[in-house]
Amino acid sequence: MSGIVHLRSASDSKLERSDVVRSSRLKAYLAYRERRYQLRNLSARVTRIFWRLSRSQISESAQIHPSAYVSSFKVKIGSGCVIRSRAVIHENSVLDDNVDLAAGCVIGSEGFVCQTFGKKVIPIIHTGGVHIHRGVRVLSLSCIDKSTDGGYTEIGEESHVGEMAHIAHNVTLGKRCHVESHTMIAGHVAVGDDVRICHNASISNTLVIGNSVRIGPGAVVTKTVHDGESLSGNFAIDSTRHSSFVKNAAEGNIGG
Amino acid sequence: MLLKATLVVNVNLRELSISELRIERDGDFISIGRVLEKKPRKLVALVGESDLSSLSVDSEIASVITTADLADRVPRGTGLVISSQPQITLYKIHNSLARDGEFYKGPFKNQIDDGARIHPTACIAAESVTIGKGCVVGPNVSILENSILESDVFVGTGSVIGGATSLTYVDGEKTVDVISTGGVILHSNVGIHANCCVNRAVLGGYTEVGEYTKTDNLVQIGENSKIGRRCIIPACASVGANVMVGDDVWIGPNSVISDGLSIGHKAFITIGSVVVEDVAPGQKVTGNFAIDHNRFIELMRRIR
Repeated sequence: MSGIVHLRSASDSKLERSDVVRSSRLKAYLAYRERRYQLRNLSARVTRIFWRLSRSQISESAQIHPSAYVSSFKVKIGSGCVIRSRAVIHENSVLDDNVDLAAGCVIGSEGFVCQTFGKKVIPIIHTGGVHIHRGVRVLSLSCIDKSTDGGYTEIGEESHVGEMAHIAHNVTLGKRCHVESHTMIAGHVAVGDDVRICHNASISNTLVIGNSVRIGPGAVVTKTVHDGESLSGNFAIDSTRHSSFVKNAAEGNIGG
Repeated sequence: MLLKATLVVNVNLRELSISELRIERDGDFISIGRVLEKKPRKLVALVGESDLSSLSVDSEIASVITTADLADRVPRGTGLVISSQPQITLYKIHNSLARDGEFYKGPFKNQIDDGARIHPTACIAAESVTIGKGCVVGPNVSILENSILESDVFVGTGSVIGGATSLTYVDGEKTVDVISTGGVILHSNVGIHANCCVNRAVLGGYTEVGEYTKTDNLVQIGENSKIGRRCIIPACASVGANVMVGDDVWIGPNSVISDGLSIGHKAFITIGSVVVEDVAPGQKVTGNFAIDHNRFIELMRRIR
């Protein structure tokens, strides 16, 4: 009897020990992961200190409203740019010629990448920038984030970004794109040329949007979109299929 | 920290200087709020059956404004005002007390820590602002009255902390604003990015954002909402008024949470969702209106 008890307690303690080992290994791994992350942020901080070595270069023909704020470091503003009231341009932003920034828009705001470590959430410090090409127009209160690790969030030539639009870190927007108001483009999205993204549409992260695509108002895009497609709906599907679905639903046959 | 120092003013229903107030039973209160809200000895408006059922659970109700039909079902111990439009009567009482100035906490001197980094273009209200150690306030930020920023809070470019809400009621032919008397608390290590709005609470109390919660650009948090700890709120999300959000919640980009809902711990709200019902802890919801994620994906398979 005592032998059985002894055996059981032995197996119990063995189990506990392996649990302890596992949890301590997990803890060590998590601590390592956090330290590596903190180290990355530290190096990013150092990189950002080096930005202070290069002063901003602002073309003489650029018009900047007195209430606008342009960082004194690592900003390039080309000729013929118009920066309107209360617009903000942060470090490491490049504006080519004839860019028009409307009131209250924010260029080079901090990107949003967070990692949870136990009871803490630590954001990544971004070391990239924003490059806005020739002839782009950015309307009021829009935000364009810095890219994460070097490089630029790019807005292609002659594109148009509407009011209160959000363009996240590492997005590349092609030439002549038309992004309407309240649009949300999440991180690492690559958008082709001549794309039209209508009001209040959202595009999920890391997607590729082809050339000449039309994304309907309020659409929520969660899959890669090929050239020339037209999407609408939440989640977005082909526009013709979506309108036939809505028509069927209005007639009472859901699922058509 | 400052909550405990609030002066308590006891108001009797008969002391109120409001015309045509039909007081059925006398009573008093020290705060104004909603049923099940965590406020001591409060005055509430009862509008529907759902409020009545939760009335027995809430032990902190001191006085009630309700319609004549529901009046019989209000417990005996509480003060009772009868009105055809209880919510509007509540707002009228609130507005008269807000103008009076004693019921709600008065203004106090700004307390801004020397360790806070505030950009020269930022606008801080002249009074009733507390900014803690290590806070970073970006360019063009507005921090308005009754805002409390604990330590290491980051407020990004152009955000507005403590803006008033557009809560109104119709009185005759006029639209009257309900005066915002509450504030905003951003707990330690909160991160608010560019062009966000965190509205101040209206009926006293605070809109709260929990520790380590991070919001991306263009996020709006409505009055009197309580966001938990370590929540992640990507861009363009909109949280309505009086919403209770648990800890570790992910509120997707461009999603909307309707007024007065409660979202459980570790819930996941997918991109572009419109949430109109309570979300259980750990649940993943998707769609407009939001339903369970797996059910939504099944539906999508049928129509794709």
